[in-house]
Amino acid sequence: METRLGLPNLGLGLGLRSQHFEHILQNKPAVDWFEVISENFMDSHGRPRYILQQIAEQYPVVMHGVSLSIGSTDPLNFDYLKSLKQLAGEVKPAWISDHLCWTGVLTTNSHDLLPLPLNDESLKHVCNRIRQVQDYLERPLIVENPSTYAAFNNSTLPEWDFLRIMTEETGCGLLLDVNNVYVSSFNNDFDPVTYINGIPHDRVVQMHLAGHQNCGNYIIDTHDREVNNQVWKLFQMAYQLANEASVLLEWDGNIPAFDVYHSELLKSKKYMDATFTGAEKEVHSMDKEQVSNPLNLFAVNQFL
Amino acid sequence: MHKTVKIPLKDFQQWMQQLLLDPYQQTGVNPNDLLSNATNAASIEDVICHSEKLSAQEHLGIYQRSYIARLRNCMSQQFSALEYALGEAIFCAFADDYLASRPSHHYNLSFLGAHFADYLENNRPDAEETVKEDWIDFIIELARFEYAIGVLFDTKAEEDYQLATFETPEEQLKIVPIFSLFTFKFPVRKYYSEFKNGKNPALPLEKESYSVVLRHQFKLSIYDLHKEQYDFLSLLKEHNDIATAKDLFQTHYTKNDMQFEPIWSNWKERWIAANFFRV
Repeated sequence: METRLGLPNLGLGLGLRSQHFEHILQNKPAVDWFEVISENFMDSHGRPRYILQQIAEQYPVVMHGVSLSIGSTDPLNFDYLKSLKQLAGEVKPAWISDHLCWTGVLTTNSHDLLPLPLNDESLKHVCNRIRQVQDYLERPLIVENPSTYAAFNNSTLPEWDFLRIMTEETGCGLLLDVNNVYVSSFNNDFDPVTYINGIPHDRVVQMHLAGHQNCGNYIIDTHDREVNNQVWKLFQMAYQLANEASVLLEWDGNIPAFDVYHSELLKSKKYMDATFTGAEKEVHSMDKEQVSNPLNLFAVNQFL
Repeated sequence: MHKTVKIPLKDFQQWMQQLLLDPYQQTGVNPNDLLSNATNAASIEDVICHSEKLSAQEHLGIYQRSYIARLRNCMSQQFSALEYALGEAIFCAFADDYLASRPSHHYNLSFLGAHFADYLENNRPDAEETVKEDWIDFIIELARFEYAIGVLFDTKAEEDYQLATFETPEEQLKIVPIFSLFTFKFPVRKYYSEFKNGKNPALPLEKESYSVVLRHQFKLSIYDLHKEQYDFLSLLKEHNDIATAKDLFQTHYTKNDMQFEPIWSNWKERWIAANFFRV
Protein backbone atom coordinates (compact mmCIF):
# COMPACT_ATOMS: atom_id res chain seq x y z
CA MET A 1 0.00 0.00 0.00
CA GLU A 2 1.33 3.40 -0.99
CA THR A 3 1.73 5.72 2.00
CA ARG A 4 -0.43 8.88 1.88
CA LEU A 5 -1.75 7.79 -1.54
CA GLY A 6 1.57 8.92 -2.96
CA LEU A 7 0.79 12.49 -1.97
CA PRO A 8 3.67 14.58 -0.63
CA ASN A 9 4.40 15.65 2.92
CA LEU A 10 4.00 19.38 2.51
CA GLY A 11 5.37 20.14 5.97
CA LEU A 12 3.78 22.66 8.33
CA GLY A 13 0.92 24.73 6.96
CA LEU A 14 -1.46 27.47 8.00
CA GLY A 15 -5.01 28.29 7.05
CA LEU A 16 -5.12 31.23 4.65
CA ARG A 17 -7.20 33.92 6.34
CA SER A 18 -8.17 37.27 4.82
CA GLN A 19 -6.74 39.12 7.82
CA HIS A 20 -3.28 37.92 6.76
CA PHE A 21 -3.45 38.49 3.00
CA GLU A 22 -1.37 41.66 2.99
CA HIS A 23 1.18 40.28 5.45
CA ILE A 24 1.75 37.18 3.37
CA LEU A 25 2.07 39.01 0.08
CA GLN A 26 4.40 41.64 1.49
CA ASN A 27 6.57 39.49 3.76
CA LYS A 28 6.46 36.10 2.07
CA PRO A 29 6.73 34.27 5.42
CA ALA A 30 8.49 30.92 5.62
CA VAL A 31 5.36 28.82 5.84
CA ASP A 32 5.51 25.49 4.02
CA TRP A 33 2.01 25.62 2.60
CA PHE A 34 -1.48 27.10 2.97
CA GLU A 35 -4.91 25.55 3.26
CA VAL A 36 -7.85 27.51 1.91
CA ILE A 37 -11.54 27.10 2.65
CA SER A 38 -12.76 26.24 -0.85
CA GLU A 39 -16.13 27.97 -0.48
CA ASN A 40 -14.47 31.29 0.36
CA PHE A 41 -13.07 31.42 -3.16
CA MET A 42 -15.29 29.27 -5.39
CA ASP A 43 -17.84 31.96 -6.17
CA SER A 44 -15.73 34.99 -5.43
CA HIS A 45 -14.39 36.88 -8.38
CA GLY A 46 -13.08 39.74 -6.31
CA ARG A 47 -9.97 40.37 -4.29
CA PRO A 48 -9.85 37.05 -2.34
CA ARG A 49 -9.57 34.99 -5.50
CA TYR A 50 -7.05 37.40 -6.99
CA ILE A 51 -4.92 37.09 -3.88
CA LEU A 52 -5.29 33.33 -3.78
CA GLN A 53 -3.94 33.16 -7.33
CA GLN A 54 -0.86 35.10 -6.24
CA ILE A 55 -0.33 32.96 -3.14
CA ALA A 56 -0.79 29.74 -5.11
CA GLU A 57 2.06 30.86 -7.37
CA GLN A 58 4.35 31.11 -4.35
CA TYR A 59 3.21 28.35 -1.96
CA PRO A 60 1.71 24.88 -2.20
CA VAL A 61 -2.02 25.13 -1.54
CA VAL A 62 -4.61 22.61 -0.38
CA MET A 63 -8.36 23.15 -0.81
CA HIS A 64 -10.46 22.30 2.23
CA GLY A 65 -14.24 22.33 1.88
CA VAL A 66 -17.13 22.57 4.31
CA SER A 67 -20.11 22.09 1.97
CA LEU A 68 -19.62 18.92 -0.05
CA SER A 69 -22.11 17.22 2.29
CA ILE A 70 -20.82 13.77 1.40
CA GLY A 71 -23.21 12.12 3.85
CA SER A 72 -26.42 13.86 2.77
CA THR A 73 -29.25 11.88 1.26
CA ASP A 74 -29.90 14.76 -1.15
CA PRO A 75 -28.37 14.24 -4.60
CA LEU A 76 -24.80 15.43 -4.95
CA ASN A 77 -24.69 19.10 -5.88
CA PHE A 78 -22.93 19.11 -9.23
CA ASP A 79 -23.08 22.90 -9.46
CA TYR A 80 -20.99 22.91 -6.32
CA LEU A 81 -18.63 20.27 -7.69
CA LYS A 82 -18.27 22.15 -10.97
CA SER A 83 -17.31 25.31 -9.16
CA LEU A 84 -14.93 23.35 -6.91
CA LYS A 85 -13.27 21.73 -9.91
CA GLN A 86 -12.93 25.08 -11.68
CA LEU A 87 -11.18 26.56 -8.68
CA ALA A 88 -8.93 23.50 -8.44
CA GLY A 89 -8.04 24.00 -12.09
CA GLU A 90 -6.82 27.50 -11.25
CA VAL A 91 -5.18 26.88 -7.90
CA LYS A 92 -3.79 23.42 -8.62
CA PRO A 93 -4.07 22.24 -5.01
CA ALA A 94 -1.98 19.35 -3.74
CA TRP A 95 -5.30 17.76 -2.74
CA ILE A 96 -8.95 18.53 -1.99
CA SER A 97 -10.51 17.67 1.34
CA ASP A 98 -13.89 17.85 3.05
CA HIS A 99 -15.63 16.35 6.07
CA LEU A 100 -17.40 13.11 6.90
CA CYS A 101 -20.72 14.79 7.56
CA TRP A 102 -23.90 16.09 6.04
CA THR A 103 -24.86 19.77 5.93
CA GLY A 104 -28.55 19.53 5.09
CA VAL A 105 -31.33 17.79 3.20
CA LEU A 106 -34.34 18.83 1.10
CA THR A 107 -32.00 21.45 -0.47
CA THR A 108 -31.61 23.25 2.86
CA ASN A 109 -28.11 24.03 4.07
CA SER A 110 -27.57 24.22 7.82
CA HIS A 111 -23.97 25.37 7.31
CA ASP A 112 -22.99 22.96 10.05
CA LEU A 113 -20.98 19.75 9.82
CA LEU A 114 -23.70 17.42 11.03
CA PRO A 115 -22.90 13.93 12.31
CA LEU A 116 -23.93 10.70 10.65
CA PRO A 117 -25.12 7.54 12.34
CA LEU A 118 -22.26 5.17 11.62
CA ASN A 119 -23.69 1.92 10.28
CA ASP A 120 -23.76 -0.22 7.16
CA GLU A 121 -26.34 1.96 5.43
CA SER A 122 -24.46 5.21 5.95
CA LEU A 123 -21.14 3.55 5.09
CA LYS A 124 -22.46 2.28 1.78
CA HIS A 125 -24.08 5.64 1.06
CA VAL A 126 -20.94 7.65 1.83
CA CYS A 127 -18.71 5.28 -0.14
CA ASN A 128 -20.96 5.53 -3.21
CA ARG A 129 -20.83 9.30 -3.07
CA ILE A 130 -17.08 9.46 -2.48
CA ARG A 131 -16.60 7.35 -5.60
CA GLN A 132 -18.81 9.71 -7.61
CA VAL A 133 -16.97 12.77 -6.32
CA GLN A 134 -13.57 11.23 -7.01
CA ASP A 135 -14.64 10.29 -10.53
CA TYR A 136 -15.86 13.83 -11.15
CA LEU A 137 -12.86 15.57 -9.61
CA GLU A 138 -10.45 13.04 -11.14
CA ARG A 139 -8.48 12.81 -7.93
CA PRO A 140 -8.79 11.13 -4.54
CA LEU A 141 -10.90 12.91 -1.98
CA ILE A 142 -9.33 13.46 1.41
CA VAL A 143 -11.97 13.05 4.12
CA GLU A 144 -11.73 14.62 7.57
CA ASN A 145 -13.17 13.25 10.79
CA PRO A 146 -15.53 15.96 12.10
CA SER A 147 -16.01 17.18 15.65
CA THR A 148 -19.22 15.63 16.90
CA TYR A 149 -21.51 16.63 19.73
CA ALA A 150 -23.83 13.63 19.59
CA ALA A 151 -23.76 9.92 18.89
CA PHE A 152 -26.69 7.82 17.74
CA ASN A 153 -28.35 4.66 18.95
CA ASN A 154 -28.51 3.30 15.39
CA SER A 155 -24.73 3.50 15.00
CA THR A 156 -23.13 0.09 14.82
CA LEU A 157 -19.55 1.01 13.91
CA PRO A 158 -17.00 3.06 15.82
CA GLU A 159 -15.84 6.00 13.78
CA TRP A 160 -12.31 4.63 13.35
CA ASP A 161 -13.69 1.42 11.83
CA PHE A 162 -16.01 3.43 9.60
CA LEU A 163 -13.04 5.46 8.34
CA ARG A 164 -10.93 2.38 7.78
CA ILE A 165 -13.57 0.59 5.72
CA MET A 166 -14.40 3.82 3.88
CA THR A 167 -10.79 4.29 2.77
CA GLU A 168 -10.48 0.63 1.78
CA GLU A 169 -13.68 0.72 -0.26
CA THR A 170 -13.07 4.02 -2.04
CA GLY A 171 -9.35 4.65 -2.10
CA CYS A 172 -9.90 8.03 -0.48
CA GLY A 173 -7.41 9.56 1.93
CA LEU A 174 -7.84 10.79 5.49
CA LEU A 175 -7.43 14.17 7.03
CA LEU A 176 -6.95 13.30 10.66
CA ASP A 177 -8.07 16.20 12.82
CA VAL A 178 -6.52 15.41 16.16
CA ASN A 179 -8.43 18.15 17.92
CA ASN A 180 -11.68 16.76 16.51
CA VAL A 181 -10.81 13.31 17.85
CA TYR A 182 -10.28 14.84 21.27
CA VAL A 183 -13.47 16.93 21.12
CA SER A 184 -15.60 14.01 19.94
CA SER A 185 -14.11 11.63 22.47
CA PHE A 186 -14.86 14.04 25.31
CA ASN A 187 -18.41 14.65 24.09
CA ASN A 188 -19.23 11.04 23.29
CA ASP A 189 -17.33 9.03 25.90
CA PHE A 190 -14.78 7.15 23.84
CA ASP A 191 -11.05 6.78 24.22
CA PRO A 192 -9.15 9.06 21.80
CA VAL A 193 -6.09 6.82 21.92
CA THR A 194 -8.16 3.84 20.77
CA TYR A 195 -9.43 6.04 17.94
CA ILE A 196 -5.95 7.11 16.85
CA ASN A 197 -4.74 3.52 17.00
CA GLY A 198 -7.74 2.29 15.04
CA ILE A 199 -7.60 4.47 11.95
CA PRO A 200 -5.69 3.36 8.84
CA HIS A 201 -2.43 5.23 9.34
CA ASP A 202 -1.16 4.75 5.83
CA ARG A 203 -4.18 6.68 4.54
CA VAL A 204 -3.54 9.80 6.59
CA VAL A 205 -2.54 12.47 4.09
CA GLN A 206 -2.91 15.44 6.40
CA MET A 207 -3.44 16.29 10.03
CA HIS A 208 -5.29 19.20 11.61
CA LEU A 209 -4.58 20.92 14.88
CA ALA A 210 -6.79 23.55 16.47
CA GLY A 211 -7.89 25.08 19.73
CA HIS A 212 -11.22 24.33 21.35
CA GLN A 213 -13.49 25.67 24.06
CA ASN A 214 -14.14 23.49 27.08
CA CYS A 215 -17.63 24.34 28.35
CA GLY A 216 -17.43 21.98 31.31
CA ASN A 217 -19.74 19.17 30.29
CA TYR A 218 -18.86 19.36 26.64
CA ILE A 219 -16.28 20.83 24.27
CA ILE A 220 -16.88 23.04 21.24
CA ASP A 221 -14.45 22.93 18.33
CA THR A 222 -13.99 26.69 18.08
CA HIS A 223 -10.61 27.12 16.34
CA ASP A 224 -10.24 30.35 18.28
CA ARG A 225 -7.29 29.77 20.60
CA GLU A 226 -4.08 27.85 21.17
CA VAL A 227 -3.96 24.07 20.99
CA ASN A 228 -4.28 22.54 24.43
CA ASN A 229 -1.92 20.04 26.03
CA GLN A 230 -4.12 16.97 25.68
CA VAL A 231 -4.42 17.63 21.95
CA TRP A 232 -0.66 18.16 21.62
CA LYS A 233 -0.07 14.82 23.34
CA LEU A 234 -2.55 13.11 21.04
CA PHE A 235 -0.85 14.75 18.08
CA GLN A 236 2.53 13.50 19.29
CA MET A 237 1.21 9.96 19.23
CA ALA A 238 -0.68 10.30 15.97
CA TYR A 239 2.22 11.90 14.12
CA GLN A 240 4.44 8.91 14.78
CA LEU A 241 1.77 6.53 13.54
CA ALA A 242 0.74 8.56 10.51
CA ASN A 243 4.06 8.48 8.74
CA GLU A 244 4.80 12.17 8.80
CA ALA A 245 1.65 13.50 7.21
CA SER A 246 1.38 17.21 6.41
CA VAL A 247 0.32 19.25 9.45
CA LEU A 248 -1.95 22.27 9.51
CA LEU A 249 -3.06 24.52 12.34
CA GLU A 250 -6.59 25.92 11.97
CA TRP A 251 -7.51 29.27 13.53
CA ASP A 252 -10.87 30.74 12.51
CA GLY A 253 -12.11 32.83 15.43
CA ASN A 254 -10.30 35.60 17.33
CA ILE A 255 -7.69 35.35 14.59
CA PRO A 256 -4.38 36.67 15.93
CA ALA A 257 -1.56 38.46 14.13
CA PHE A 258 0.15 36.28 11.58
CA ASP A 259 3.31 35.83 13.64
CA VAL A 260 1.32 34.61 16.65
CA TYR A 261 -0.54 32.13 14.45
CA HIS A 262 2.69 30.95 12.86
CA SER A 263 4.51 30.53 16.17
CA GLU A 264 1.67 28.34 17.48
CA LEU A 265 2.11 26.13 14.41
CA LEU A 266 5.83 25.87 14.98
CA LYS A 267 5.21 24.39 18.44
CA SER A 268 4.20 21.24 16.59
CA LYS A 269 7.87 20.59 15.77
CA LYS A 270 8.50 19.73 19.42
CA TYR A 271 5.67 17.21 19.45
CA MET A 272 6.86 15.55 16.27
CA ASP A 273 9.64 14.18 18.45
CA ALA A 274 8.28 11.08 20.18
CA THR A 275 10.63 11.62 23.12
CA PHE A 276 9.51 15.18 23.92
CA THR A 277 7.95 15.26 27.40
CA GLY A 278 7.28 18.98 27.93
CA ALA A 279 3.93 20.74 28.05
CA GLU A 280 2.61 24.17 27.17
CA LYS A 281 1.59 26.70 29.79
CA GLU A 282 -2.17 26.97 29.57
CA VAL A 283 -4.59 29.66 30.64
CA HIS A 284 -7.99 28.21 31.42
CA SER A 285 -11.02 30.44 31.05
CA MET A 286 -14.75 30.00 30.95
CA ASP A 287 -16.33 32.24 28.38
CA LYS A 288 -19.56 32.49 26.44
CA GLU A 289 -20.25 29.45 24.28
CA GLN A 290 -18.75 30.02 20.86
CA VAL A 291 -19.76 28.62 17.50
CA SER A 292 -17.92 25.65 16.04
CA ASN A 293 -15.75 26.36 13.04
CA PRO A 294 -14.74 26.56 10.23
CA LEU A 295 -17.12 29.03 8.65
CA ASN A 296 -16.96 30.17 5.08
CA LEU A 297 -17.59 33.87 5.24
CA PHE A 298 -15.15 36.61 4.43
CA ALA A 299 -15.17 40.03 6.01
CA VAL A 300 -15.57 42.51 3.18
CA ASN A 301 -14.88 45.57 5.33
CA GLN A 302 -11.14 45.52 5.03
CA PHE A 303 -11.37 45.83 1.28
CA LEU A 304 -13.33 49.06 1.28
CA MET B 1 -32.56 -5.81 27.01
CA HIS B 2 -30.97 -3.40 24.55
CA LYS B 3 -33.31 -2.62 21.68
CA THR B 4 -31.94 -2.47 18.12
CA VAL B 5 -32.69 0.94 16.66
CA LYS B 6 -33.04 1.28 12.91
CA ILE B 7 -33.83 4.51 11.09
CA PRO B 8 -33.54 4.99 7.33
CA LEU B 9 -30.76 7.54 6.79
CA LYS B 10 -33.04 9.82 4.82
CA ASP B 11 -35.62 9.88 7.59
CA PHE B 12 -32.95 10.42 10.23
CA GLN B 13 -31.58 13.45 8.39
CA GLN B 14 -34.99 15.02 7.87
CA TRP B 15 -35.78 14.44 11.53
CA MET B 16 -32.58 16.00 12.77
CA GLN B 17 -32.79 18.94 10.38
CA GLN B 18 -36.35 19.63 11.48
CA LEU B 19 -35.15 19.75 15.10
CA LEU B 20 -32.39 22.19 14.18
CA LEU B 21 -34.45 24.52 12.03
CA ASP B 22 -37.57 24.50 14.15
CA PRO B 23 -36.54 23.68 17.73
CA TYR B 24 -39.78 25.06 19.20
CA GLN B 25 -42.03 23.39 16.62
CA GLN B 26 -43.39 26.71 15.41
CA THR B 27 -44.07 25.26 11.96
CA GLY B 28 -46.49 22.75 13.44
CA VAL B 29 -44.40 19.81 12.26
CA ASN B 30 -43.79 17.21 14.92
CA PRO B 31 -40.30 15.89 14.18
CA ASN B 32 -41.11 12.54 15.72
CA ASP B 33 -43.67 12.02 12.96
CA LEU B 34 -40.68 11.81 10.64
CA LEU B 35 -39.59 8.64 12.44
CA SER B 36 -42.59 6.61 11.32
CA ASN B 37 -40.39 4.23 9.32
CA ALA B 38 -37.98 3.70 12.19
CA THR B 39 -37.70 0.64 14.37
CA ASN B 40 -37.60 1.30 18.12
CA ALA B 41 -37.16 5.05 17.65
CA ALA B 42 -39.91 7.53 18.36
CA SER B 43 -38.22 10.25 20.38
CA ILE B 44 -34.98 12.18 20.80
CA GLU B 45 -33.87 9.81 23.54
CA ASP B 46 -34.44 6.83 21.24
CA VAL B 47 -32.24 8.30 18.51
CA ILE B 48 -29.50 10.22 20.30
CA CYS B 49 -27.30 8.59 22.91
CA HIS B 50 -26.96 10.19 26.28
CA SER B 51 -23.40 10.42 27.58
CA GLU B 52 -21.88 10.40 31.04
CA LYS B 53 -22.27 14.17 31.23
CA LEU B 54 -25.19 15.09 28.99
CA SER B 55 -28.69 13.88 28.21
CA ALA B 56 -29.74 13.17 24.64
CA GLN B 57 -31.63 16.48 24.57
CA GLU B 58 -28.55 18.32 25.80
CA HIS B 59 -26.44 16.78 23.05
CA LEU B 60 -29.00 17.88 20.48
CA GLY B 61 -29.15 21.30 22.12
CA ILE B 62 -25.52 21.96 21.21
CA TYR B 63 -26.41 21.60 17.52
CA GLN B 64 -29.62 23.60 17.92
CA ARG B 65 -27.85 26.54 19.55
CA SER B 66 -24.96 26.34 17.15
CA TYR B 67 -27.22 26.40 14.08
CA ILE B 68 -28.90 29.68 14.88
CA ALA B 69 -25.82 31.27 16.49
CA ARG B 70 -23.69 30.53 13.43
CA LEU B 71 -26.17 32.00 10.96
CA ARG B 72 -26.92 34.98 13.21
CA ASN B 73 -23.21 35.60 13.34
CA CYS B 74 -23.03 35.56 9.56
CA MET B 75 -25.99 37.92 9.25
CA SER B 76 -24.31 40.18 11.76
CA GLN B 77 -21.16 40.25 9.64
CA GLN B 78 -23.08 40.89 6.43
CA PHE B 79 -25.20 43.61 8.00
CA SER B 80 -22.95 45.12 10.66
CA ALA B 81 -24.15 48.70 10.15
CA LEU B 82 -27.75 47.53 10.19
CA GLU B 83 -27.15 45.64 13.42
CA TYR B 84 -25.72 48.79 14.95
CA ALA B 85 -28.71 50.81 13.73
CA LEU B 86 -31.26 48.38 15.11
CA GLY B 87 -29.38 47.33 18.22
CA GLU B 88 -28.31 43.74 18.76
CA ALA B 89 -31.56 42.47 20.29
CA ILE B 90 -33.88 43.79 17.57
CA PHE B 91 -31.45 42.81 14.83
CA CYS B 92 -31.31 39.25 16.18
CA ALA B 93 -35.09 39.08 16.41
CA PHE B 94 -35.40 40.11 12.75
CA ALA B 95 -32.52 37.84 11.70
CA ASP B 96 -33.94 34.83 13.54
CA ASP B 97 -37.36 35.32 12.01
CA TYR B 98 -35.84 35.83 8.56
CA LEU B 99 -33.74 32.67 8.89
CA ALA B 100 -36.78 30.73 10.08
CA SER B 101 -38.84 31.91 7.13
CA ARG B 102 -36.04 31.56 4.58
CA PRO B 103 -33.53 28.86 5.57
CA SER B 104 -30.34 28.84 3.54
CA HIS B 105 -30.42 26.83 0.33
CA HIS B 106 -26.97 27.71 -0.93
CA TYR B 107 -23.60 26.38 0.11
CA ASN B 108 -22.14 29.88 -0.02
CA LEU B 109 -22.92 31.93 3.08
CA SER B 110 -22.43 35.13 1.09
CA PHE B 111 -25.97 34.63 -0.18
CA LEU B 112 -27.48 34.23 3.28
CA GLY B 113 -28.77 37.79 3.45
CA ALA B 114 -29.88 38.04 -0.18
CA HIS B 115 -33.55 38.46 0.71
CA PHE B 116 -33.19 40.23 4.04
CA ALA B 117 -34.12 43.68 2.75
CA ASP B 118 -37.23 42.22 1.07
CA TYR B 119 -38.05 40.42 4.30
CA LEU B 120 -37.81 43.70 6.22
CA GLU B 121 -39.97 45.41 3.61
CA ASN B 122 -42.62 42.68 3.86
CA ASN B 123 -42.53 42.48 7.63
CA ARG B 124 -42.26 46.12 8.62
CA PRO B 125 -43.66 46.74 12.09
CA ASP B 126 -45.92 49.52 10.75
CA ALA B 127 -47.43 47.36 7.99
CA GLU B 128 -50.94 47.84 9.38
CA GLU B 129 -50.53 51.57 9.98
CA THR B 130 -51.71 54.24 7.56
CA VAL B 131 -48.86 56.56 8.43
CA LYS B 132 -45.51 54.85 7.96
CA GLU B 133 -42.55 55.35 10.24
CA ASP B 134 -39.46 56.91 8.63
CA TRP B 135 -36.85 54.87 10.44
CA ILE B 136 -38.10 51.65 8.92
CA ASP B 137 -37.55 53.03 5.43
CA PHE B 138 -34.00 53.89 6.45
CA ILE B 139 -33.41 50.40 7.82
CA ILE B 140 -34.57 48.81 4.58
CA GLU B 141 -32.37 51.12 2.49
CA LEU B 142 -29.38 50.38 4.69
CA ALA B 143 -29.97 46.62 4.41
CA ARG B 144 -30.11 46.83 0.61
CA PHE B 145 -26.94 48.91 0.51
CA GLU B 146 -24.95 46.65 2.82
CA TYR B 147 -25.85 43.56 0.85
CA ALA B 148 -25.08 45.31 -2.44
CA ILE B 149 -21.60 46.17 -1.19
CA GLY B 150 -20.90 42.47 -0.65
CA VAL B 151 -22.18 41.57 -4.10
CA LEU B 152 -20.06 44.24 -5.80
CA PHE B 153 -17.01 43.02 -3.87
CA ASP B 154 -17.35 39.51 -5.31
CA THR B 155 -18.78 40.19 -8.78
CA LYS B 156 -16.90 38.82 -11.75
CA ALA B 157 -15.67 41.65 -13.96
CA GLU B 158 -12.85 42.62 -16.25
CA GLU B 159 -9.98 43.95 -14.15
CA ASP B 160 -7.20 44.22 -16.67
CA TYR B 161 -8.18 47.57 -18.15
CA GLN B 162 -6.44 50.91 -18.54
CA LEU B 163 -7.68 53.79 -16.46
CA ALA B 164 -8.39 57.10 -18.20
CA THR B 165 -6.02 59.97 -17.54
CA PHE B 166 -6.51 63.71 -17.79
CA GLU B 167 -5.12 63.45 -21.33
CA THR B 168 -7.62 60.80 -22.46
CA PRO B 169 -9.85 62.22 -25.22
CA GLU B 170 -13.33 62.73 -23.84
CA GLU B 171 -15.01 60.50 -26.40
CA GLN B 172 -12.91 57.57 -25.17
CA LEU B 173 -14.06 57.77 -21.55
CA LYS B 174 -15.97 54.71 -20.36
CA ILE B 175 -17.09 54.01 -16.85
CA VAL B 176 -15.21 51.19 -15.08
CA PRO B 177 -16.84 47.73 -15.12
CA ILE B 178 -17.96 47.68 -11.48
CA PHE B 179 -19.85 50.93 -11.08
CA SER B 180 -23.15 50.95 -9.24
CA LEU B 181 -25.30 54.00 -8.63
CA PHE B 182 -27.56 54.35 -5.60
CA THR B 183 -30.33 56.76 -4.72
CA PHE B 184 -31.67 56.88 -1.19
CA LYS B 185 -34.39 58.67 0.76
CA PHE B 186 -31.90 58.88 3.65
CA PRO B 187 -28.17 59.67 3.91
CA VAL B 188 -27.34 55.97 3.89
CA ARG B 189 -23.77 56.28 2.61
CA LYS B 190 -22.88 58.81 5.27
CA TYR B 191 -24.33 56.67 8.02
CA TYR B 192 -22.64 53.54 6.68
CA SER B 193 -19.23 55.18 6.35
CA GLU B 194 -19.40 56.76 9.78
CA PHE B 195 -20.21 53.40 11.31
CA LYS B 196 -17.40 51.67 9.41
CA ASN B 197 -15.00 54.37 10.56
CA GLY B 198 -15.75 53.61 14.19
CA LYS B 199 -18.12 56.48 14.85
CA ASN B 200 -21.53 56.13 16.46
CA PRO B 201 -23.95 57.74 14.03
CA ALA B 202 -27.50 58.52 15.15
CA LEU B 203 -30.46 57.42 13.05
CA PRO B 204 -30.60 60.07 10.32
CA LEU B 205 -33.50 62.26 9.29
CA GLU B 206 -34.97 61.86 5.85
CA LYS B 207 -32.82 63.56 3.23
CA GLU B 208 -32.36 62.40 -0.36
CA SER B 209 -28.86 61.20 -1.11
CA TYR B 210 -26.98 59.76 -4.07
CA SER B 211 -23.87 57.60 -4.18
CA VAL B 212 -21.73 55.53 -6.46
CA VAL B 213 -19.79 52.40 -5.53
CA LEU B 214 -17.00 51.43 -7.89
CA ARG B 215 -14.28 48.82 -7.88
CA HIS B 216 -10.77 49.21 -9.16
CA GLN B 217 -8.04 46.62 -8.69
CA PHE B 218 -10.48 44.71 -6.50
CA LYS B 219 -10.91 47.56 -4.01
CA LEU B 220 -14.28 49.23 -3.54
CA SER B 221 -14.66 52.99 -3.28
CA ILE B 222 -17.80 54.88 -2.37
CA TYR B 223 -18.49 58.49 -3.38
CA ASP B 224 -21.33 60.85 -2.67
CA LEU B 225 -22.99 62.48 -5.65
CA HIS B 226 -25.34 65.42 -6.21
CA LYS B 227 -28.62 64.64 -7.88
CA GLU B 228 -27.38 66.16 -11.13
CA GLN B 229 -24.25 64.05 -11.03
CA TYR B 230 -26.31 60.96 -10.33
CA ASP B 231 -28.58 61.75 -13.27
CA PHE B 232 -25.64 62.36 -15.59
CA LEU B 233 -23.85 59.16 -14.56
CA SER B 234 -27.09 57.20 -14.90
CA LEU B 235 -27.37 58.44 -18.47
CA LEU B 236 -23.74 57.61 -19.11
CA LYS B 237 -24.13 54.13 -17.65
CA GLU B 238 -27.23 53.53 -19.76
CA HIS B 239 -25.80 54.81 -23.04
CA ASN B 240 -22.10 54.23 -22.43
CA ASP B 241 -21.24 57.29 -24.51
CA ILE B 242 -20.17 60.67 -23.16
CA ALA B 243 -21.60 62.75 -26.01
CA THR B 244 -25.00 61.07 -25.77
CA ALA B 245 -25.08 61.44 -22.01
CA LYS B 246 -24.17 65.12 -22.26
CA ASP B 247 -26.84 65.77 -24.90
CA LEU B 248 -29.56 64.02 -22.93
CA PHE B 249 -28.49 65.63 -19.70
CA GLN B 250 -28.49 69.15 -21.17
CA THR B 251 -31.89 68.54 -22.71
CA HIS B 252 -33.23 67.54 -19.34
CA TYR B 253 -31.69 70.47 -17.49
CA THR B 254 -32.24 73.28 -20.03
CA LYS B 255 -34.84 74.85 -17.81
CA ASN B 256 -32.16 75.58 -15.28
CA ASP B 257 -30.30 77.72 -17.81
CA MET B 258 -27.06 76.28 -16.58
CA GLN B 259 -23.76 76.39 -18.38
CA PHE B 260 -22.94 72.71 -18.46
CA GLU B 261 -19.46 72.65 -20.02
CA PRO B 262 -17.63 74.26 -17.09
CA ILE B 263 -19.51 72.01 -14.69
CA TRP B 264 -18.76 68.92 -16.74
CA SER B 265 -15.12 69.91 -16.97
CA ASN B 266 -14.96 70.09 -13.21
CA TRP B 267 -16.79 66.78 -12.75
CA LYS B 268 -14.62 65.07 -15.35
CA GLU B 269 -11.42 66.10 -13.64
CA ARG B 270 -12.56 64.88 -10.23
CA TRP B 271 -14.00 61.65 -11.58
CA ILE B 272 -10.91 60.76 -13.60
CA ALA B 273 -8.85 61.29 -10.45
CA ALA B 274 -11.26 59.01 -8.57
CA ASN B 275 -10.97 56.18 -11.16
CA PHE B 276 -14.51 56.49 -12.49
CA PHE B 277 -13.31 56.11 -16.08
CA ARG B 278 -11.41 53.64 -18.14
CA VAL B 279 -10.28 53.91 -21.74
